[in-house]
Amino acid sequence: MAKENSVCEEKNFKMIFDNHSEVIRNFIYYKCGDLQQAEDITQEAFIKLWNNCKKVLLEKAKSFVMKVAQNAFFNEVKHKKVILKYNEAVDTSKLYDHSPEFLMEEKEFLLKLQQCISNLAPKQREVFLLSRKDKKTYREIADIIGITQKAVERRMHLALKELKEKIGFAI
Amino acid sequence: MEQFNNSDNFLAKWADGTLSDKEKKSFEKTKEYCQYKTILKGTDLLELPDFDKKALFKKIQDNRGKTSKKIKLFPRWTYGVAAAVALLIGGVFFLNTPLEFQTGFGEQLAITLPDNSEVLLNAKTELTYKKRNWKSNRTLNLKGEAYFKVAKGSTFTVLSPLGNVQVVGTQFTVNAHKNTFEVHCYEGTVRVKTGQLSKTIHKGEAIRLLDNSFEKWNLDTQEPSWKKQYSDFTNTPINQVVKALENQYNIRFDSKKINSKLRYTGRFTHTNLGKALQSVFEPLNIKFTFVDKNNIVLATK
Repeated sequence: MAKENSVCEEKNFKMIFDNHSEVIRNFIYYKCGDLQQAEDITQEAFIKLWNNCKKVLLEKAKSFVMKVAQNAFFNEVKHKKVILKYNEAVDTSKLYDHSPEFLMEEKEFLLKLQQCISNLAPKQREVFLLSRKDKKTYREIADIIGITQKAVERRMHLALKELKEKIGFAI
Repeated sequence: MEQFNNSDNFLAKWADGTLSDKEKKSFEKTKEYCQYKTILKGTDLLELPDFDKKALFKKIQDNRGKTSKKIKLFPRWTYGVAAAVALLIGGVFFLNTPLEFQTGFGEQLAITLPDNSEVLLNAKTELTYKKRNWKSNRTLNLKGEAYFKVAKGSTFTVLSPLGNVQVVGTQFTVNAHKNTFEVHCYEGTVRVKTGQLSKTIHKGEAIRLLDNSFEKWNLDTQEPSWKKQYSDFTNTPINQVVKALENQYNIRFDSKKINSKLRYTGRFTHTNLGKALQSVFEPLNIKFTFVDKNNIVLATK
């Protein structure tokens, strides 16, 4: 019985990876803006989970990898200026039927928005992006970062306010 | 609008869709609403870089069990190498550094070698040897005069500027002061070598190098006289006796005015300079005059 619930079981480990690896990568990416580093840290965190699989309970595995990844981030990542990159090809034409001028303006707007998000305070940025891009609830974000849900909401509120102040004129 | 300004999570709730209908409706009437809505829409359009989950999982599977790949400034094995090198250098340095012993004017020094052989150094003598491989290579360098009581074992060699002495296990003295090479054998046999000359002497015999040839005579003592606070001489060239006096009493002789071919047989004490000078120079009819405390001029009477 105990074995079935062990992290050392291949299928359990795979499940933890499938469920959480992307959030971890994105979370670290939001923090450091270096995709390669984010993937390296994610990889290390899961290797560490495997090496400690006998000591970690299945229900604690998620917070274990989160914690390991965050610690790795704090230890290793030099705090350089964060420039988040997004995929260039944003195909908006499928969604909206607009004039070329509008599309042009929209492209410029997205570029500006992207810069403004990059310039957010890291604490606000990670909350904002985890919420909007990874569709995490505030409760889940609170668990990931290790703060209260109330604090997450406050950061989200401030992030939106900040973005509006920076980019509101363009709308 | 009131809630919007007073609350610090109003926008969060709005973005989350958890505002009440009433709150939502009043917010939708403000002009900021449109801006916020556009920001969220724009954010939705931004795409994150692709995440290749499979490739990452493959990497993790490949690396599981290995320890984390932190790259250390110095890999762990270098510490071992550094320690080994340090030990090696230290060991070689320590073992190869010759041990050095010295005596000053009128001093004597007893040394015990690693194999329990004993050495007694007379005044103004220098002895060096290497501790390394001592058991298989018993070799010492000597400048001055020393008495050896050699423990049985491999060949025991004394190197001196004028010649070498080789023994196996015996008692002997070597006098290898400047321009002097004299060996006294008290027990066993001793092989003396200098340049091309080589000679073996036995118990109770003594040998000295003089004008490129060996001079041999018999001893009447069992151990060097200088162990007992006096120096014994048998038909010894006067210069060698003068040198011995100098080393014993820290004095200088001006011996230009005396015949260097003179020989001396007798002894002088180590404890009284006046008596020592008398016992050496009276029989030879030599007058000694103190110039100052440490300098003496010798002249034929």
